[in-house]
Amino acid sequence: MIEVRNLTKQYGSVTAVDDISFTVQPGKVTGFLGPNGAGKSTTMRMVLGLDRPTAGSVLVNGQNYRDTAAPVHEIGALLEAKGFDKARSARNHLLALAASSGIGAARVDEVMAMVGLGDVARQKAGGFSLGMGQRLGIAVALIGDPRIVMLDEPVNGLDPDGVLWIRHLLRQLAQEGRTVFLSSHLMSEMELIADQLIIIGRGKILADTTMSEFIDSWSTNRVRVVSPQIAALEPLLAADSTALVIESADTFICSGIDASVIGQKAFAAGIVLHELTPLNVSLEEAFMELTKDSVQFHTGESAA
Amino acid sequence: MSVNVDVTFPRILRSEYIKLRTLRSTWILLGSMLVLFIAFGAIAALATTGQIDSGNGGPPRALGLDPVTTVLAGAGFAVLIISVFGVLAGAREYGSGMIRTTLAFVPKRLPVLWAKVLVLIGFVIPVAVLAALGAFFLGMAVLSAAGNPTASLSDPDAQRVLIGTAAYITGLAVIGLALGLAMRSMPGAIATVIGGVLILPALLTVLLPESWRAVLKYLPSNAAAPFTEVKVRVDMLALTPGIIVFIAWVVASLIVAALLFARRDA
Repeated sequence: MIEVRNLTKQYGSVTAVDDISFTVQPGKVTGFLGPNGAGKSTTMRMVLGLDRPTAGSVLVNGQNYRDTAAPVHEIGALLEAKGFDKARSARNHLLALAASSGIGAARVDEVMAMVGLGDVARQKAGGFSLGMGQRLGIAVALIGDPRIVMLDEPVNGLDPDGVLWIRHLLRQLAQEGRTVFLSSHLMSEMELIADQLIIIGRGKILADTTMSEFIDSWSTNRVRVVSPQIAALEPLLAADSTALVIESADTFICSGIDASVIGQKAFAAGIVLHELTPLNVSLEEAFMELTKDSVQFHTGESAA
Repeated sequence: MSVNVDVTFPRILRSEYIKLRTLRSTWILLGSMLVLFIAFGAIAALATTGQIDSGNGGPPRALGLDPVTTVLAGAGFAVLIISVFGVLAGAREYGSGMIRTTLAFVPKRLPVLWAKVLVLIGFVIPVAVLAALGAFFLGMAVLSAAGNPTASLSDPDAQRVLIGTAAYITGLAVIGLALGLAMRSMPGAIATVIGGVLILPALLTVLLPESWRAVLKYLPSNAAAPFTEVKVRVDMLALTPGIIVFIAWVVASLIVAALLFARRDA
């Protein structure tokens, strides 16, 4: 479990993270979603104690991360895909890191095989593709059998095969009761992977909800109606519909009323319909809508 | 996994040892220091005996130097190489971003610094001692074969300078590491350590007014003169103050590095 309380990080006059609070629960996959520069990576660095918060605190499984006796067992993190020395072999990279927790070659080889790098383990990591670098980073994250797995943009650079693999892996880790926390700037990715959704924009939490609640709240059933007789149809629907927007001479969009009901009423009144289309907001659109302001004004007034 | 995966200092030491051991640059730099140190000593010895020309056909240049100074002619190169080695040990992880992974594994930071320092010393001391002794014995063999004056290892001056040179090389490696860690940049730290240790003393000798010359002997390279040079120079510190001042430079650079490393964002 990760507990973030009133966390703030300022770099000079720029507020990267602005008094945010949230809890990441074990047993599910929590997506940390936001546009680039929203504060995701900064928050994750503060979870690990790499960056010192300007204010607020983070608890990792109830403790300050720096005070944990076995850090690798508390949290395994992937922060940057290229965070290794190019001149060192992948296996030696992992051996060196693992040694600080007393983890030896047997476990290193096991994890290298698990992430699909068994055959290239002794090659220099500098020759790795971005996807292989991500796999190495995931091996680093998993080496200590951590209770929390925290990954910053893990699907970046992975081939489709790798994307499927990581979705599967994260699902499995959550099912094992671990806390899985991953960031992305792509809603489409989160949609497929996350149970819980924390959306951040301009350093502030914009939404903290379950994925299904988020989908429900944004898919108000709107329907586009095209008819040569909208003047006649409109009064029939006004009673049931919560909002009616005229788009053009023969088109309007109404919400809060099912397409089937509109069809029924039009048929009963003998009104001709040319089109009757339920409109679902895609999650990507919902996300864009939610973060629109934070993206637009990001460079403008974030200094406050 | 029910095994104990606590972070302990011996484990951090082992981690840093693996890091240094698994970089080819470690072996290239230490190997070239060893070879150049010994080779330059041998060449200087040969030049002294007149067996090789000094290049312009004139009399051998090294003539007139005492035998210990002659055979340790490669020390200057060793100092350059080891400074770079130290800086690499301190700054290299910042170049790759690996430092953030390291500190995620070991969130208490200072033990990482101390482990880096100890492992560096562990790598440098044997090579520095081997290089100094190698240069000494090979050089003396060359000199003695030609009937030139030699010094023996039982000579107190020889002992002082051999131990002193190995210690100076080790100390500079540590200063390099501290600067590398503090500056987080290899080019910057290499420029600083080489500039500060080799160029600054010469530059200040020219630039400083006469009355300020007294500060020169406190610069790291000059403070080391009483234990790295055979001749005792009157414008330099005495042996014990020299040792103290040089150690103070090493300790001060480590304190600065420790303060920065412990406090700032990684």
